[in-house]
Amino acid sequence: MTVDKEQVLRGSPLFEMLSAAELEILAEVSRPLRFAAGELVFREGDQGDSLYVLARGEVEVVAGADGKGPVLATLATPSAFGEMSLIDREVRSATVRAKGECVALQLTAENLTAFRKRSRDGFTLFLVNVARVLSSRLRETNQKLARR
Amino acid sequence: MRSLRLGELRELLESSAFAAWWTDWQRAVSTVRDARARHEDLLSHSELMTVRSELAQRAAVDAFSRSGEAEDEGTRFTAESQEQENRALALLGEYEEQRFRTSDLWVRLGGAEKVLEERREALGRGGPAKARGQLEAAVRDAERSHQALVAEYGAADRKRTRLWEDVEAAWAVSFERSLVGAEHGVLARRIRREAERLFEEAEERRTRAKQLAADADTAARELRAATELERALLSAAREKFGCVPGPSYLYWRHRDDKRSAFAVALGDDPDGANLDVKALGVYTVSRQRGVSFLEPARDGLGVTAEEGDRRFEEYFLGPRKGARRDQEGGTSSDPTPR
Repeated sequence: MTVDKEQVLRGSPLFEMLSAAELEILAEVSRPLRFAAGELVFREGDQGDSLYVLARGEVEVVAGADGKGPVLATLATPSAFGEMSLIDREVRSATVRAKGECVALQLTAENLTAFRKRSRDGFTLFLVNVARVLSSRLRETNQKLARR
Repeated sequence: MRSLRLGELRELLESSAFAAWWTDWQRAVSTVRDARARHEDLLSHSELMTVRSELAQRAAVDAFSRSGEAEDEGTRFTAESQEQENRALALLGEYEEQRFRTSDLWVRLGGAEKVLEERREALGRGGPAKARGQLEAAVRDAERSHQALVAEYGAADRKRTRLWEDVEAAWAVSFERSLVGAEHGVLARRIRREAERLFEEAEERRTRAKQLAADADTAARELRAATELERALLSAAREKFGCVPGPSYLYWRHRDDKRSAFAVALGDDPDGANLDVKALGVYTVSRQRGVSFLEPARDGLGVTAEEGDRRFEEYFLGPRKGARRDQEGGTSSDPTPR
């Protein structure tokens, strides 16, 4: 079963405002990875030099490196994850596990560097989108804290 | 207009072709500057010389006029002097007549005195009464004649003296007028010489002004030719280097930024829009503001990785924390994984 990578990326909030040509470049350098149910995408504490865009299926964000901790969140398409470590170069803050069979597009730091060389503006918009996503999460966290 | 990266532009500026063009350009700029300075100098000298010629001509005409006035004045004094001289001669004639008349009276007065003395002596010698009476009458008659002559001589002598005084006064006036007239004559000749000198000077200056104007025309032609050469060099720069030449800058588009361009200064400009512009300095300018706002083009600012800026790669691709795993998970579904 093939994945329309460009279509997947277009649906992700991380790649809003990018042109078709820029999405084409990103699609070209991204790699689709298939995960079986329960398989770990990455572990808490791992080095994080890539982000993932969920193309099909769902994943669970789990506390703890062994993947047996409580589920913090469940993500479905077109969600993306792993961008925090990619940007701040810290270790993975949680474990991500496939809830069922799923496919995710992987974009490594090298892939994004290559993209930057070909489109400065496209890369800048990508970073703006990352900042928007992180800001949105921070607002949600603040609201949750305020409700407590 | 070619699109270049900064490194490419620097390579172009360091190329032998550009160095040769730059040498020609500097020579042309220097020629234009010298030609303009020479033209302005000659033009101002020519105009100044024309003004000085006109001033000398005006001064000459003025001096010539004053010379005529001095001559007229001298002539008037000389005529007055002559008139007084003639009057003095006429008075001298009258004086001479009066002198003869006075001398005659003097002789007659001497005769009357002698007659009076003789008659008095005859009366003193005495004689008969009848004769005495006749002698006394003769003495009284001689005394009356003598007194009349004394009075007449006195009047004639006073007139003679007055006439002499008049002659001397006329001579004095004639003398004064003659002196002043002579001085005016000298003054008139001197002013006339000055006028002639000024006329010559005006003519010389007119000739010099014409020569300077001709030189200024030549300098203007040289300036036009030098300016033409400058324009030709700018056109050549457009063809050879793919730039857009402005009056003071050469422009190339920035390959990585469609909204900006590189501007290379063609000369120093300490009063540049926002900074001290140096010849051959490379500046980044925006499409809208152009050279009204210059930024020195720097390696690593708006420059791609190929040009040596590694800051992003050092951060983004540098060492990361955490456990390194060959494969985070999943199976590649891409037949040609990258």
